[in-house]
Order: sequence, then structure tokens, then C-alpha cells
Amino acid sequence: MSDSIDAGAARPSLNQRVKGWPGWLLLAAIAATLIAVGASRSQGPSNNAERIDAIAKQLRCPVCAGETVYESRVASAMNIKADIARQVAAGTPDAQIKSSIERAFPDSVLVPDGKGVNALLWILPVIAVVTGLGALAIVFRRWKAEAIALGAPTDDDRALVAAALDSNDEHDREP
Amino acid sequence: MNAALGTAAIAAGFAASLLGFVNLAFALIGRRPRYVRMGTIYAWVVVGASVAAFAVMERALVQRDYRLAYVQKVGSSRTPRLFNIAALWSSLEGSILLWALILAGYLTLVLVRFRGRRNDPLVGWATATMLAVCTFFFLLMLGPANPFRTALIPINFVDGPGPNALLQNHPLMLFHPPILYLGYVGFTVPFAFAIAALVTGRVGEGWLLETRRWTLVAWAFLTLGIVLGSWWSYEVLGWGGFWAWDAVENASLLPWLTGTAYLHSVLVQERRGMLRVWNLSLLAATFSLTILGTFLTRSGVIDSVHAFTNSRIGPYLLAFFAVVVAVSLGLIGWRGDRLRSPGTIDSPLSREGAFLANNVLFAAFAFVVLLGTVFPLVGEALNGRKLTVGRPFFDSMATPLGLALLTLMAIAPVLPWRKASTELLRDRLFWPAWCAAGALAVAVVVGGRGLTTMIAFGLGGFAAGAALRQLVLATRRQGWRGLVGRANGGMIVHLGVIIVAVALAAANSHQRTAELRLKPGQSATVLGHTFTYNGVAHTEDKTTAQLKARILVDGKQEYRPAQTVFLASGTLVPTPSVRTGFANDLYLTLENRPADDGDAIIKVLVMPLALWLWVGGIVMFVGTFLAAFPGRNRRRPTAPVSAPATATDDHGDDREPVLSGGAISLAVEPGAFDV
Amino acid sequence: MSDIHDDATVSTDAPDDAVSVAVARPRRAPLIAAAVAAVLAVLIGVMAAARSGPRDIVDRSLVGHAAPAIVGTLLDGGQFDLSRRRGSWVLVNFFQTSCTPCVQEHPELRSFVERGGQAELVTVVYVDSAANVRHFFTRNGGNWPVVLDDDGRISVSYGVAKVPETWIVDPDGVVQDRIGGAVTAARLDALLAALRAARGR
Repeated sequence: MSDSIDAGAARPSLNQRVKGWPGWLLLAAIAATLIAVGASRSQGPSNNAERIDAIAKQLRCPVCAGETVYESRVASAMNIKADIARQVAAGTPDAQIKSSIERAFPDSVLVPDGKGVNALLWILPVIAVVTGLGALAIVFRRWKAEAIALGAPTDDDRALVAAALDSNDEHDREP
Repeated sequence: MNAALGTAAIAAGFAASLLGFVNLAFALIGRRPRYVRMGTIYAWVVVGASVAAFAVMERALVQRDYRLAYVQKVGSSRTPRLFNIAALWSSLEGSILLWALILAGYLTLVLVRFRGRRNDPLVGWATATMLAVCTFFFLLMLGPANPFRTALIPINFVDGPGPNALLQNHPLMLFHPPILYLGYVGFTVPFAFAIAALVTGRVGEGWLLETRRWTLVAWAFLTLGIVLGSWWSYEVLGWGGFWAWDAVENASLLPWLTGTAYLHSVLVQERRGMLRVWNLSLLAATFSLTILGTFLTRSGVIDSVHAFTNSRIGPYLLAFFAVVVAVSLGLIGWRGDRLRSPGTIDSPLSREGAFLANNVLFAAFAFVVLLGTVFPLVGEALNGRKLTVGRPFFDSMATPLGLALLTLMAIAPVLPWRKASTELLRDRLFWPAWCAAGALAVAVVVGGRGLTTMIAFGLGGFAAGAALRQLVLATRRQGWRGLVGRANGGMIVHLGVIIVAVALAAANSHQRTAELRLKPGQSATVLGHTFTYNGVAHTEDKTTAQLKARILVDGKQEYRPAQTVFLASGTLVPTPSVRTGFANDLYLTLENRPADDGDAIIKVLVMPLALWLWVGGIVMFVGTFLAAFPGRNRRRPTAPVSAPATATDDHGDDREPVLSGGAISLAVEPGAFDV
Repeated sequence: MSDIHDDATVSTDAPDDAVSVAVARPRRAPLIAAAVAAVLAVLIGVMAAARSGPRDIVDRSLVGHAAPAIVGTLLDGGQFDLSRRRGSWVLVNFFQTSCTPCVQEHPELRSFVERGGQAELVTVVYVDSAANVRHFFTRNGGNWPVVLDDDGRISVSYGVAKVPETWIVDPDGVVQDRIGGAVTAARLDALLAALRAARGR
């Protein structure tokens, strides 16, 4: 069904030519280049303050109801932030900072590791998505096979549709 | 006096809703039409009782009637009148009262709108379901969450503490909860009709067309409520974030996700009579999730900054959730196979196929958010250690799902029903794809970094191109009417979503922070702006004492981030000072309490595209109402779905009925399967 | 729960009679509904069993490990170093003047110290000003070392988020116990006696 002429476009042939494979290839090339340019730029914290914030966002405030150290203003959270700031200024790597806080305040690190029960947290979504998409694929394939198996419409089918359309056209006169 | 009146109103409401439900059920099961009228009268009594109870509570608050325990908790003579009125919903019992009021409001609308069809069993069962829900909420107010409980005034009682400090200092407290509740509670109506459809067996398209606009309105308010909530976090809480994947935030997101899936999937049911079981399940899921969300918010089982005080209300809510789920699953299990349409989706590359994929993705998204929210409970049950699931998990799950949804958003609007060919797609997606390239170019120019951000920008441009293409085609054909109606309004909503998605991508990954320590009079230049600290200012009013740091930004305007102390409770809240611009927000917070001549520690955040989050939210809200606007050529519910579209408000793509032997589905008349 | 068409053949000769086709298909909906119900039943069970509210459990993972260092300035100006107290039992008490239980346990600590000998007591100031603490000790007595912790590093290294907390460190510098909340002199005596006995063995 290629009667999709954009109303108001120029001569159809130019339109069709522009939208052909060459146009798309050019487009793909441009898009890929732009993405590569953007993706290659460095991400992540660019100064100490951002590094501190990034680490603080990954730690749970020990006494708050569900806030991170970054968000919380209670004394223990401010102490932890100060400690992170000291370690960042001293050049300690992120992982070491987090593990030192974790040693003192267990279960602080917000990304549950993949051990034990926590593994479920990562596995179940993957299973869900895979199952969902898999089920979709199976169902689509089955339906496609059925549709092919049914074959082309027969004259009886066409008559049936025509009759239904006629009777409904009468109802359809309403605004 | 207030207590007596209020309790009487609630008792009346409970009795009327219970009796009304029993009465209607009796009338409908036994087919006694005369009793249906009685049921309607009971429903009106329930409405009256809700309004009365709410009015009495407001009166008690305004009068500062401290004989009521609730007014002792949240009332205060120091609170300004407007915030005192809003104090009604600032704590648990009052929030249930607000819920009951809004439920009564929706019940009124249902009664009025369908008064001509009172004897229709569909309407009867819907009303009965709504009365059952009312019964539950009134039961809550009679039992564990009694707002009119009296308490002795303590001997040295001088004044109440007022609502929680954080709930006092922003006018949004007046709007956010009611708007959010309009959304949550609004989903009760389509749910009631879904139950009615299942019970009566009339699973044709009639019921869903009746309730389509209700669902749209509820969804619009829920969207607006969520956006307002995140704006409030950003403006008030001072930590520069708008979404923390907190349990209560997730509780509002979950029904939004399933509701959005429903709004799309219902189009397939209208067109081809398919996905009925999906739609009924999604509606049941949406309503159940609102109840589950209420449970999570109010029971205290999950840590959250937003959580209301925990109380005995938890078991009741959980029991109601179990009942709702059991009834829904039972009915769907019983009727489900009868619902299945004979139609099939022949090709995955079709509008129906895209919507089915959409359903799966949204369901997966909701599953992931629900899993993350309740996982602390599961973990604690399994190994006893307190476990927290935080932002990193949710972000890492939401990002790929969000990108997949953006892709669908780009492709689905150009897909025709039944089947698409690659030539067609290549043709229609051409200009949208160039929009994508344009968006990528813009991203590179403004400094976008990282693969995910670039892809997000690209897909956002792609989807925006597809939506704009649709709108341009429609307005060319129909003038201004090309902007209203289901498909076109839907495209506007899509644009809103894209704006929000792109703004989120930018704000999350391109936030810049700097911390400054300034002496009075000292200046510093960071992140492209100059900041001069001009000392502190102390202000005090009836409720707060503020220590403000006066910061001159770029020599032009003075901003005053503050540390605010609420006098009644002693809580300290940092108040940010935000300068909103088109490209980014400059967000200042005061980190310490400087002495008059001491150093001030100021944190500066540059939040790119923050304004567009709110703009996008408003576009979504407005677009929904445009979508609810009737198109010129409304399709009759009984029109066969394979009929040629007679210039409908969608783009008339399939001008010929596409036949594939035998599998034509005709939309059925309501009442076709009366059992 | 999608509209999964079963594999029964669909006849092409008659218009679809949805009712009769429905009867012919296997009843899939009840199975799926039952499966979903099972999962939700588990979820409801977990939520029903959950205890609400913040839990006041003091974490004991540092017990049995070396006590983190305490090096700092004393209230009256000298220097303090925990490691120089090896050889005697040390009680480390985290304190704040605005914390009511801390104020309530202060007389107990005083009586513990004045009865002499069992262990050395040292107080670490948790998020408070030296002036406040000095004023408090002047008014309420108490003659033991008080270490200032202005940048909070000692509190963080011990994982202290709520006060009062009392830590018992043995003569080898190993943490033997961690008590959250206010303590009494009697309880401290009992704990120390038990630990000494266990160690003596």
C-alpha cells in the first residue's frame, strides 16, 4: 500500500526518489556520526563536588525514611557527606569510599549486590521482559501462520462484508 | 458538636453505601427493577453524607475546634487560613475523608450522567461496585482512621503544631493532593464499569465507550498530580531532584503506567474488538494498584519520606486489596474465554501489533517498579536484614524500557491497521527520521554526552517527528479541528511525553554542581555564572524564621536561598532559590548557617531543561482534554470495524477494508451476550 | 493475559459465532487467573507479615573487630588517642547535649565512674558545639575525657547515627559490645563482669 503521498509535496517522483534507499542511507550515516560524536564525549563527574554528589546518591541515609545521603539533612547524613568529601579530596577511588562507609553503616549502598536474595531483584525483571517478548513472538508467529492458512478471501466473504457495510451505511448518516 | 455531626455523617454514609450495595445487588441478581430506584436513592444519601462530613471537618479546622484529636494534630492558630483548610488532607484520617468526598463526587457524576439508563444492568452493577468501594472507605473512617475522634485537650495546651512543616510552606499543598486524588479515585469509575461488564456478560464495546472519557479525565489528573508533585519536590525540598523512585512516588506511577497502557489498548478493542481480556485486566490492575499504593503510603511498611504516620489502617487496606484482586481475577477467569474475539493480529508490523507490544512493555515497566518497591519487604521476610532498593536499580531498568517506548511512540502513529509494508514505513517515517537527525545535531551542539543521552535525544526527535507529521496532515485536512479528537489530541500528549523524556534525559545526566565557600562581599565564578555573597538577612513571620543568604547572580538579580525554621515544631528545612531559564535552571541552596560576618557555603546546581519538564507535563494535561473533545465524525459504537473510515478524526489510512478470509470482526452491539 | 488464539481450526464457511467458538476452545483464562492469583497471594502474604515503622536495631557488625581509631582534641585542650589506652577496658560513649536520653543517662555514667575502676570512660561529642558540652559538664559534673569530633569523622567511622550509644572496647582494642540507647550503671557493671569472665577464661 504505497499510496502514501504527502499532500502538498512536489512531483511524486522526486518525493519517491528522496525517500528511497539512498536518502535513508545518508540519514543513517549522519545519525550514526552524530551519535558517535556525542557518545565519545566524557561523561560522569567533572569536579569534586559532582563526585561527592554522585557517591552520596548511592548511599542510604542511616536514619531517614528512604532518603539518600545526598538528599538528607540529618546529622548523620551530613557527617557521611563530610567524610566522603574528605576522601574525595584525598583522591580515594569511589569503590573504596563506598566500601568504607558500608563497613561502618551496613546496608548503606543502594545498589543491592547480586548476592543471595538480591540477585532476584535483577533476575526477575529480565525474566519478565524475556517472557513477555518471547510470548509476543510466539503469538505473532502463530497468528501469522493461521492467517496464511486461511487463504485468500472468497466471494462469499466479500458478499458478507458488502451486506454488512450496506446495512451500516444507513445508520452512519448521523453527524 | 462537630464530632457528633461528623460521626453521624460517616455512620450514615456507611449505612447507606452498604445498604445501597446490598439493595442493588439484590435487585440486579433477582431482576427486580423497582428496587434499582431504591439503590439510587441510597447512593444520593452517600453523596450527601460525604459532603456533610467534609464540611463539618473544615468547619472544625477553621474554628480550631481542638476537641477533635485530628484538629489537635494538624490545626494551629498560626497557620494561615488557606493552609488551614488544606491541613484537612495533610494527615491520614483527613486524607481518607478527602478520598471519600471525591469518590462521592464521581458517584454523583455517574448517577447524573446515567440517570436515563438507570434500569440498565450495566449501570446498575457499576453503581453497585462504586457503592461497595464507598462502603470500604466509610468503614475505614468508622474504624481505624476516624477523623472525628475526640480527645481531651491536654492541660497545658496552648496551640496546635500545625501541619507538618514541609506541608505548610508551599501553595502546592492546596492543589497537589486533591488533583492526585481526582486521578486515583477517577479510575474507580471505569473499573466499576469493567466489573459490571464482566458480571453482566455484556463484554461488547458499549461499556468501554461510555467510560473512555472518564478514564481520560482520571488519567489527565493523575498525570498532572504526578508532575505537580515532582515540581514540589524540586522547588521545596532543596536537594535539586524531582523524582527519587521513592515508594510513594512509585505508588502514583504504577496506576499511571497501567492506565496509559489501557488508554492505548482500548483503541484496538474499539477498532477490532480485540484485546478485551487485556483491557479488562489493565483496568482491574489500575484500580488495584491505586489501593495498593494507598496501602504502601499509609501503612508504614515501606520507608518513605512521604509516608503518612503508620497506623492500624494497614491490614484493612491490604484486605481490601486482596478482595479487589480476588473479585477481578475471579470474574476474568470465569468470563475470560468468552471474551476472546475471533480476530487475530496478522502482522506484528501493524497498529494492533504495536499496541500489543506497548501493553507488554508497560506491563513490564509496572512489574519492575512494583518489584523494586516491595522488594525490601520480600528481602526482609527472607533473610531478616533491612534492605533498600534505591534509585540506581530503577534508573537502570527504566532507561531501556523508556527508550523502547519512545521507539514505539515513533513508529506506531504511522502504522496502519492490519498490515504495513516496508515501503510504507520507509515512506512515512522519512521526515520523522530527519527530525531525529536534527535532534541529534542539536544535542551535539549543546553539549550532549554519553550514548544513552544521544539515543534518547534521537528517539525523542524521531517520535516528535511522527507526532508532528500526524498533526500537520490533520490540520491541513481539517483546519483547527485537526488538533482535537482522539488521535490528534493523543499526538499532542505524545509531544508532551517526549518533551518530558528528553528533559529528564538531559537533567539526569548533564547536571552540573559546584560548591562555593564565600565570605561576605566575596565573588566567585563557576559554571558560567558569577556569584557574590552579600551577607545574611533574617526574616520572621508567624510560622517561620528564615536565615537567608543574599546572593547576587551575574550582577543582575539577588537570590536568597535560606534555611527555614518552623517555629511550632522546630524543624529545619532548606529552602532553595531557583532561577528558571529556557535552557537550564540555576538552583542555589544554603548549606550552613552563616554567622552575620561568617562564611556562607552555597551549593550551585545547573539543571538543564528543567523548565521543559513542567511544560511537557502541562502539554500532556492539555492534550488529554483535547483528545477527549469529540471529533466531528464520531464512529458509532456499532459500526463494523473493518468499514472504510468515513473521514474520521484519525488519518484515514485504510480506505479499503482489508479482508483476510473469515477473520472479519464486527463490533458487537451492547447486550449481545446477555446471559 | 493476551488474546491467545488456540490451535483449533477456524472454519471459513460460516460467520464466526463467538459463543460457540468460545466453548470449543480450552479454558485458558482460569489457569492464567489462578497463576496470577498465586503470585499476588505471595505478595499479600509478604506485605501482611511486614512490620511497619522504623526498626531500632543497632547493628553489631563491628563487634569482634578492631575498634576504629579515636584521635582528637579534648574539651579541656589536651590530645586523646584510644590506642594509648590498650591494656584497660574502655567505654566509648557518644553524646549530644540536645538528646534527652543522653542527658538522662549522664548521672548513671557519673555514678559508674565515681564507683571506680571497672573501665575507663571517654565521651565523644556527636554533632554539638564545644561550648554547649563544656557548659553541660560544668553544670552536671563529670570528670572524664571528652573528645571533640567537629568534622564527624569519629562518628562516621563508628557508624553512629543515633545517640546515645555506648561501645565497650577490651584491653586489646577489640570491640566487644555496642549498646544503643541510654544505659544504667548497673547494666554496664553486669556487661563488663560477663565480658571479663569470658575473657579471663
